[in-house]
Parts: sequence; structure tokens; C-alpha cells
Amino acid sequence: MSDRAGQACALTVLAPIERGRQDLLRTLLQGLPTGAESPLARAPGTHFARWVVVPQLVYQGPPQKRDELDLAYLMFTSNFDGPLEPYLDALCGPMGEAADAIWGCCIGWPGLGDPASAKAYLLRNRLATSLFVAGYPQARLPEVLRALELRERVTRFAIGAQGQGAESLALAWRQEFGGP
Amino acid sequence: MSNVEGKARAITVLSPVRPGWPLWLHGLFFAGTHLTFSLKKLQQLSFIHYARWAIVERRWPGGDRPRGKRQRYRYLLFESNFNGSWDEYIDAFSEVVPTRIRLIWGSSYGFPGPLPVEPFKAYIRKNELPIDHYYSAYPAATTTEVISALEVARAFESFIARSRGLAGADFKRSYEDFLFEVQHHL
Amino acid sequence: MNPARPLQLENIQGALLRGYRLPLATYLFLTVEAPASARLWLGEMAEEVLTAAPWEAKPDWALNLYVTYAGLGVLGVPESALATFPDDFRAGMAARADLLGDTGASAPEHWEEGIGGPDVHLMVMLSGADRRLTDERRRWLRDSLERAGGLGVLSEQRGGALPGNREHFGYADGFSQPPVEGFEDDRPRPGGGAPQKQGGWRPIRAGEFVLGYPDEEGVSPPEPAPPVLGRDGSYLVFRKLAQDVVGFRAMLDRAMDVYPFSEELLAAKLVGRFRDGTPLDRLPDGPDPSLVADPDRNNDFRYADDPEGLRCPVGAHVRRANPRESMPFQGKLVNRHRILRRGITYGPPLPEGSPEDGQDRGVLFMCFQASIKRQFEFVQAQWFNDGNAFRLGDDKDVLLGDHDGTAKTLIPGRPPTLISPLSRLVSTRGGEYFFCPSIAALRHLSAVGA
Repeated sequence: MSDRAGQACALTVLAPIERGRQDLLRTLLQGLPTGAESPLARAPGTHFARWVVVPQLVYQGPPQKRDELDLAYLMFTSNFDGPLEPYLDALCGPMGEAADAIWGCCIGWPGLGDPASAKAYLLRNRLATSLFVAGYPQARLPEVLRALELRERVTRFAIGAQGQGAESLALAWRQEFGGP
Repeated sequence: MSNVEGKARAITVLSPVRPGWPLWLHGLFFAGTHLTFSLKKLQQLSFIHYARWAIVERRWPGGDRPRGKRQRYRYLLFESNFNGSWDEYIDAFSEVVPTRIRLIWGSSYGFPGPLPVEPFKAYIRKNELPIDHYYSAYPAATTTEVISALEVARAFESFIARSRGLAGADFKRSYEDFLFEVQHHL
Repeated sequence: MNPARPLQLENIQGALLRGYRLPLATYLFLTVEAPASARLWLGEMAEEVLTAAPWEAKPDWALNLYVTYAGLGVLGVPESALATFPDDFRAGMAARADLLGDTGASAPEHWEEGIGGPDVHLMVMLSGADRRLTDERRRWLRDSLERAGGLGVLSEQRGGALPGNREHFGYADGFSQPPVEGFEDDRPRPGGGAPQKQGGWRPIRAGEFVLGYPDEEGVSPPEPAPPVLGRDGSYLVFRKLAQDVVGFRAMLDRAMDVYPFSEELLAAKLVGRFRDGTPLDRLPDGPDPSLVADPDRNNDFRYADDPEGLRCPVGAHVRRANPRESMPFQGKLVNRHRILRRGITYGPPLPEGSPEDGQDRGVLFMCFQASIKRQFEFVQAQWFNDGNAFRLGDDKDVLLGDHDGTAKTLIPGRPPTLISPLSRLVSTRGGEYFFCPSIAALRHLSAVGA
């Protein structure tokens, strides 16, 4: 099984959607705020995540025989900082009402009021075997965010520091980045 | 468009695997993971944040219901977070790692081969799932920007350590070394 | 390697395969008011079009004709055929503004009338060797339009080469064009084509530029229908690009506050060639007129041993336009994004040191390709208006970038030089996507519906 690369982890969950609730689910998903307000932002260590509704399987034509799902499925995938169990604990903790309403459209969802069962539900419905490629497998999310901000600051500093004499340079550096 | 978040782009593709092939895929994934044979070129392409191939077994997860229908086939799920345009992404896959693409998707019904690229794009489009909600923790940063930022952070720590206690011309020289080291990452 | 069938040179318009290097050009943008008369005129003009057939002596004037998607419809091409044309061409340039970085001052709402848009149906390009001849041909052309009736002139754009074949920022241009496989390739000059592993260069497959031939993927991409209309044709991108010469000089001036070397070298670092054309990758220290004058050397470089851009910065203009061996995988990420450029400067030069004179000057940019989206639009959006492909984050090309006042560029070195902020130096004044029909296609269009 490999859903790890370095310390980066991947998780994919497939859960059947209650008959007749697909449209509601889609509406809920498309109405979610994006970016920092997304419910998926609340699970610490999440780099990228998505919800995808799988309404039906696509028939490729002969020689394949038709193969249909009897229910639509909700797919959830997350790329996060491992390990898995603490992440799921965090996911099932503060994810909030919006996420509960979304999972609530799926068959057998115990509700976030019972986080241990919710976690067990996700574990039970996850996909195992995979090949996983990560662009920067060693970097945890806080490190990535700090580094992105630092890069901005160093660039701004470097632009302004050009042509400065040694004394004013050292002073300007200390003002921006602190230090002895 | 739901598969776009800032500069991040998401793609999800599901395709039916021909009987007899899943064992091959399992082996491939095992080899790929433990021998890293397939990963280097993909990483060189440098616009992939994270990409994953997974197999969905014939009985899809049940939620909580009693075991229900068994599907005819296993399915190959591909999902990726990348930068740049969809066309460029598929072009690059086709042109640069066609063998690997064939090894992985060759076992799926309807796969026309990685090259020429137009039929492959049509195949991906046909089997691509629109994304209902996409989240990125750093939508303004591309993969190479993240990698560059991590380099800057590393060099920064190093510079802080070695310039401690330096003053005047010595500090400036050390700073210039730091700048020279990170210039390609700014 | 030869194409599957030889290039039908008598059927392909000359401007597509040849840079005429005639110093004057006039572009008439026409609207069709009466389709029947327009078709007659088109039929007449089709016989005057200069083709790509070999010359005995270089002609001193040339005529070429182009059609927009709207124009095809107005001339009577049926819906079933119109539907076979690609999305990018059908949308037209104004609809692609966000993709192309035509924002702010370059946005379509600020464009000049009559260069693009749904009323522009045809464009005639007249090239000439001297003023007298060009004026005479222009009169002849206008007379023919009057006689025919049914066609209105929406605008006229006039271009003229500057002394030394420089463009308005002062750079000599025109050194690098992709040689087309199967066209005069008995002696392709080093540098324009695709770099080969063993050190040579090969021409680019004809299908990257001309419809109906195998392209770099080895297949003939889909052509518009019917074959007589699509085959041997191409797509033309026309853009009137105004250059802020005073702004450019001021930017150089300000950058000299922090650049430790000469202004000549700084100017070279931004573009990738010294202003006389000496390529930085070959000669990083200074211009060399004898090298520039030698077509076997002035374009023979590949960046392969300078991945860090210490000689020619990775973000320099010509390196962005054609990354050569900067990209990994032996050209696989480059060869399908080449364009054939055929533009000309317009407007009077601004002498060095002069203040802003309010005159309009710049380049009437033209390029040909088999796929607007994969070639022109890709280079514009991914290589000029972004830097991610080169690991430069969102750094844009200094000259063409749609800078919003916060951007920067970095010239590698010890120490590196950072230039910021950057402002827009080139603005789009108008443009359109055209189809460049073959001679047979022009005749077909003149008889459509008959």
C-alpha cells in the first residue's frame, strides 16, 4: 500500500449517496465557500483536497460490457501531512456543520456528533492501493506557508537593499528580520 | 470553474480496468513506490503538486449498507493537483512519459494510446469527473514556487547561523553569498 | 526526413512560408457589404496573390489575403463547414483577452476601430520595395475595391522597416525563424529549428504551420472542411502593438542605478541579444558585428550549458520566445510551440534622448501557425505572461508582460540585479485572428454558393 511519499499522505474515500439526495449534495458542495473559508481548511495539515460526485460510470464501448452503479458516490480526496490517524481525528473534529451536512447525504454517516464513529466510517470506506507522486514530499504545511511568506519578504528586501553600503544593509536586515 | 483554485488545477479521471490487468497494476504501483522508477521524470516536469493512481475494487465501499452489488470491473482512479493549463498537462504526460502512461492506462478499456495526443485528450475528457469542491492551502503558489520557497527558507536559516556576530563588510559579503545562492529561487 | 507529400508551394500563400523582407507594408481591413460583389473581387485578387512557389528574381511587391471567421460566414461558407474550424479562431482575439494578458490599457474596450471584431471580414496585405511602387499598388488595390463595390475599408495600417531592421526599443530583429521541413531546406541555418542530440539542428515539421501535413507529433492534425478550403491553409495572428519607447528608456535608466555593468549589457540581459543582435548565450561579454553578419553563427546557440542563466537570463525575451534546450526532454516541450513571425514596425523612430512626442509607434505583429491555441496563445500566456514554466514563479517578460506595477525581473549574477517595479511597455491597440486560405481555397470562396 502506498499512500505516502516522504511525510506527505494521500487519502481517498468513496461513500454511497442516499438515493434521491444527489442533487441536494451537489448544491451543498457548489455553495461551499472556497479558500480559507472552506470546511476543508479546518483539518490542519491539508495541502489540497476535493469532493467529487460520481453520478455513474462511463461506458467505453465494446468490448467492454455495460457496468453501472446502482447508487451515486461521493469521492473525497485529501493530500495532507501524515500520519493518517491524527489527521482523521482532526478532520472529524472541527470540520463543522457544512461538512456534516455533506457527509450526511451519504449512507450510514454517523454524524460528527460521534467523531470516533465518523473516523471509523472514513477509514472503512477508503481506497488502499495506490501510486503516489509528491512534488515536495518532505515539507509539512506550516513549513510551506512560512517558506512562501519568507520568500516574498526576502525578495522585497533584496530589491530595496541594492546598492546599499555595508552598515545600512546590516541595519535594514535587522529591522526586517530581527537578530543580533 | 470548480477545478481551479488560484493557480492550482485539479483533475479526476475514472476508467474501467480490463479483467486480468489489476494484478499488473498492483505490481506496477508496488514497483513504482519501492523502486521509484516512474517518478523521476514526473517530478522533473515540475508542475505536479501531488498526483495519485488508485484501484477501486469490484465491490465499492458500502457506507454502512449490507454488501450490495459487485461491479463488473475494477476501476482506475487518477487524481492530480497541478499548475498550468489542462492541455499543457496532458501534452506533457503524452510527450514525456508515454511509456509510463501506456503501462498505467493500457489496462483500461478504450485507452487509445498516449500518442498522438488528440485522441488521448478526448479519452481523458470523456472519463474526467467535474469537481464539486476544490481546496488548496496555498492557491497562489505553484509547485516550483513552493520548492523554491523551501530552498530560500533553508538557505536563510544557514545564512542567519553563519552571519551571527558578523558586522560591516563581513556581513555584506555573507549576505551577498546568500543572495547568490537563492537568486534562482526568488 | 521528408513530409508525406511535398509542400504544394503554388497553392500556399507566400507570406506564410517566406519572410519577404520588403521594407513597406500596407494592411487594409475590409468589411463585406455585398457578398456577391465581394466574392467576385476575391476571385480576381486570388490570381494576384503571391504564392510560395520559387522565385527567379525577388518580387518587388506582394499581395496576400486573409479571412476572419465572420468573413467566412458572410462570404457564404455553410454552417456545416464553419463548425469544423477551431474554437480559438472562431472566438476571435478580443474574446481571448484574459488569456493573452490584454488587460488594463490593452483591453479590447480600448482598442482602435477597424482592426478586429465581427465587422472585419477580410484583410489584404500589400508589401512593397519602395514608396513609389507601394503607393502605386495601393492605388491599384483601392481602385479594384471601388470597381467591385460591396466592400468597405474599415481601417488601414501602414508599416515600414526602421533603419538597420531595428525595432523601436533599438534591437535588431529577425534572426530566428523556424525553418519549415520540405521548404528550401537543403541548407537550413543553424539555430532556427529543433536542436538535435548530436549537436545539429533539424527543420520543424511542416504541419506545425501549414494545414494538411504531418506535424511534430507525426500526424496531420484535423483540418477545416471541405479539404479544398482547409488544406494548405494556416492561421494568422495580427496584433497592433504600441511601444512605450520613453518608458523603456526610463526603465533602463532607473535600472542602471543598481546594475553594476554597462547599459549595453543590461539591455542585452533583458532580451537575450545585444541590440545589434549578438546572442548572449554565445558571446556574453559584448557585441560582435562579424558574428551578427554571419547567418550561420548569429543564431547558433542552445542554452544547454547555461541552465542558471548566467550568460543569458532564463527570463530574457528571446529565451522565453524559444527556450531551445533550456527545457528538459530534448525539445518535446518546445517543438510544438513555434511560430513563424512576419510582422513589421510602424511609426517614426524616436531619437535617443527625445522626450515623449505623442506619436504612435510599435510593431504590426504577425505570426502564422497551424494551431493558434497551442502555438501563439500558449507562448503568450505561459512563456511571456508567466514564468512558471521556467521556474521563475510569476515573473513576466520585461518587454511584453502585462505588468501591473508590482512585478520584478531578476538578472542572475554575483550579485544578482533585481528590477522592480515594472510597468507595461507594450500595449495592444487591436488585433484579430485570421485564416490564411490557400489559392484554391480563395477560388473556392469566390464561388461559394454558386
